[in-house]
Amino acid sequence: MNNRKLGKWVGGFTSFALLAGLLAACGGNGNEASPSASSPAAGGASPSASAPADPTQLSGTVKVWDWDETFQNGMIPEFNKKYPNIKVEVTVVNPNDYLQKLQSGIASGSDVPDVILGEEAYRGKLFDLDVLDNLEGAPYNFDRSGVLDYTIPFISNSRGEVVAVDQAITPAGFAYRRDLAKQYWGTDDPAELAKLLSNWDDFIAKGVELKDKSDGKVLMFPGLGDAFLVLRNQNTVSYVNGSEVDLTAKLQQPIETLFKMRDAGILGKNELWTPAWSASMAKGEFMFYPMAPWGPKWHISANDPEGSGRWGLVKAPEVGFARGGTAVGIYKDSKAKEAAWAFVQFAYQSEEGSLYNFQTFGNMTSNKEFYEKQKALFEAPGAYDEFFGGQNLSQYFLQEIIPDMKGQPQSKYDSVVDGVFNALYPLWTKDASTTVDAALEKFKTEFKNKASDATVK
Amino acid sequence: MNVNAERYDAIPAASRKRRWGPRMWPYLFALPFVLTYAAFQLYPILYSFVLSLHDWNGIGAKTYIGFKNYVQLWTNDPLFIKSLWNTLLMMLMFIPLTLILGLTLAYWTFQLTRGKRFFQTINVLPYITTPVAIGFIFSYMFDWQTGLVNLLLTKFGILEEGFYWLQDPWGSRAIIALMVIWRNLGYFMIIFMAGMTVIPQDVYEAAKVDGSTGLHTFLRITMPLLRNITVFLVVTSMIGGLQLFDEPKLLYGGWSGSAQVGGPDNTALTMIWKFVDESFISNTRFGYASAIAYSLFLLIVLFSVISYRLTAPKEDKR
Repeated sequence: MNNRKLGKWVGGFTSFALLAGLLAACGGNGNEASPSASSPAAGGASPSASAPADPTQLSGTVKVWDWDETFQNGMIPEFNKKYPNIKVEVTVVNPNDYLQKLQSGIASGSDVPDVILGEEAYRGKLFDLDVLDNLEGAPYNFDRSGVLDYTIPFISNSRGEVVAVDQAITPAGFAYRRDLAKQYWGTDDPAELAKLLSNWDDFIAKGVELKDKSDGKVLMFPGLGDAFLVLRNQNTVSYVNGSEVDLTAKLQQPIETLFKMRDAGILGKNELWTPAWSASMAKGEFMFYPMAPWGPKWHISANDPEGSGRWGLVKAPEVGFARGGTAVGIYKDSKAKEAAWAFVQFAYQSEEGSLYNFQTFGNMTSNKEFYEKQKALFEAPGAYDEFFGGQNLSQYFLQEIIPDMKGQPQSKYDSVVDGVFNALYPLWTKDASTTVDAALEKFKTEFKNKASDATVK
Repeated sequence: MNVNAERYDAIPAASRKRRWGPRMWPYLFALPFVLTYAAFQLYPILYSFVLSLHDWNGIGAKTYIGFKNYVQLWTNDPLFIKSLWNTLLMMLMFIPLTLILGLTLAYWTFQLTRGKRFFQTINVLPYITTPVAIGFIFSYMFDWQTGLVNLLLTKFGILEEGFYWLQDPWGSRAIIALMVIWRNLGYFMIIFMAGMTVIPQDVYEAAKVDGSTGLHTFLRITMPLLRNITVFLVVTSMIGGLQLFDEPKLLYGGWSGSAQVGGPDNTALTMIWKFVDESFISNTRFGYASAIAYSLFLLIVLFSVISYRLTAPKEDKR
C-alpha cells in the first residue's frame, strides 16, 4: 500500500514537473516582444578603444555559423595564436537555409550566433532584418575608407550604415577557353581579347563570327542565366527606394542586351548549375563563363580537371561586375561583441589573417592597405595561375577589373528579383519569340505577386 | 477514456479508495502524451492562428491587423489561388492512378506463388528512397539537353528535338505526379495486400462453388471487401496530396544555390511551397504565412470530410 501511495506521488510529481517544464518553454517562446535589454553594456572591458592593446586580455566565447568548415578549422588556430583566451565555436549551417535558421533562432529566442554570414542570395534580406550592428559605432569603430571603395554598397544596409565586412572580394570577369579563342579568333591573349570585346555590340558580332566559323558548335555563353547575371550585376543602379522598386531602371537594359544575344543565336540552352552546364566546361562547347576569384577552384578546375593551361581570364565588355560574395556581420544583441569583432577583424581584415586567407584558400581581402603592404605576394604566381596558362589572376583582377567597378546597393528585394529571374529565364530560352516589353511586363507581374507591399515601376 | 469511466461506473464500487485509485491512473498515464500534445501540437496550432492575425517578420514588433491576411490571401493573391489549383490538379493526376495501379499490382502480386517477396521488396524500394535522391533522379531523367528520356525519344525518332519537360506547364505537373506515383505505389500495394490477407478464404471458396471466376471475383468480392482500406488510402493521400512539397521542390531546387521557386510560370507551385516561399524564401512574412497554413488546415479538414463521405461504406456515414 505504502509503495503504491509513494508511486502515485512520484507519478504525480513527475507529471507536474513535466508540465511546468513545458509551460516554461512555451513562455520563453511567447516573450519575444521584449528584447533583451542587456545588449549595449555587454563586455565592458574596454569600451572605447577600437582595438585592444593586449589581445591576451580579451576573453569570451564567440559563436559562428558558417558553411565552410575547412576555412574555420584553418583560421581559428591562427586566430588563437594571437587571441589565446577567445574561444570560437563553429556551427556548420547550409547557406540555403541559413536565413531561415537564423530567423527561427531569433524569433524563438534560442540559439543565435554572434558572427552572422550573409551570402549574396540573401544578403539584402539579412541587412533589412535589422539584426546586425553598425560596425562604425563602438566597440568596433570600423573605418570604411580602409576597404576598397566599390565594396562599400555591398556591406551597407538601406540606411547607409556599414553592417558587415567582406569575407573576400568577388570582382568578376570571364573565364575563357584559350584553345577555342586561338582557333577561331586567332589570339588567346587577354589584352587582345579585351580590345576585341570592348563593348556588347562587339561581343555579339564576335559571337556571330564564332558561331559561323565553328558551324554552330561553339557559342559564347552556356545559357541565358550566365549572360544575364553579368548584365544585371554590371547595372549597379540603385533601384529601390523604400517600397518603391524601379524594375525598369534595373532590368530594361540588361534584358534588351540579353535578347539581342539570344536572337543572334550566340547563347546555349543550359540552365545554370545543371549537370549539362557543368559538363560543358570540359567539352569546349562554350567560350565564356563569368568568373570571380573563387571560380578557378570551385568552378572551372572542378568541372574541367584535365583542362590545365587551356583557360584564361579576360574582363567583361564595358565594365567589371561582382559575382557572389559573402558579408560577415555581428549580431546586435550579441553578448560577446568585442571578442566577435576581434575574430572578424582578424580573419577578414588584419594583415596576418588576410595573408593566411590568401595563401591557404585564395581568398582576397577587401582591405586596401594589405595590397600596398603585400605587393610582392600578388606579383608572385598564385595557386591557379598555371591552370590559367600562366596568367597572374589576382593581378588581373586587381589591376584590370577592380578599378572601374561599382557596388550594388543592397535591398531585400534583390532575392525576389533573383527568384523571379530564375523562374523566367528558362521560359525565355524555350520561347525565343518573347519580346523585351513582354518579358519586362511579365517580370513586373511576377515580382508584384511575390512582393505585394512594393510599388513597381 | 469515456469508455473506461463508464465501465468502471458499471462495476459495483467496492470502496471509495478503490474507486478513486483506478480513476486517477488513466489520467495520470495519459498526462505525458496530453502535455506533449499540448506543447508541440495544440499550442503551435493556436499560436499560428494568433500569428495569422498579425503582421510579423519574426524579428521586429508584431502588429495586429485582424483578418487582413486572410482577405489578402483569398481575394488578392493570384499566386495562392494558383498554388491551390496546381495542388488539386496534381492530386487529381496521382491519387486515382496510384489507387488503381496499387490495387492491380497488389492483386497480381498476391496471386503469385513464386517470387512474391521479391516483387514486394522491389516495389517498396522507391518508398524508402530519400526524396532528395528522387528529385535528382527525375531531374536528370527529364533534363532538356542531357536527359535520358529525351535521348531515347530522339534516338528512336519519336521527337526531332528534345522536349523541355521541366519548363512546360503540363509537363512539370505530370512529372511531379509521376514522382508521387512512383514513390507511393509500393506503399499502396503493401496496404492493399494487407487488406487482402484479411479476407477469409472461405468467401473465395464459396464464390468458386457458385461459379465466380477471375475478374468477377475481383470486382464483386475483393474490391468491396477492401473498401475500408481504400477509404484509409484515399483520405491519407488527400491529406498528403494537399501537403505536396518535397517532390516539386526537389525537382526544381535540387541543384545548387540558384533554386527556382514554383517551376515554369509557377505551374508547379504547391500550397506548402507557397507557404515556405512567403515565410523564408521570397519574403519573411510569418503572419501571412500562418494565414496560408491555417487556410490549408481548414482545406485539409474539408477535403478529408468530403473524401470520407464519398468513399466510406453507407452504414459508416454518420
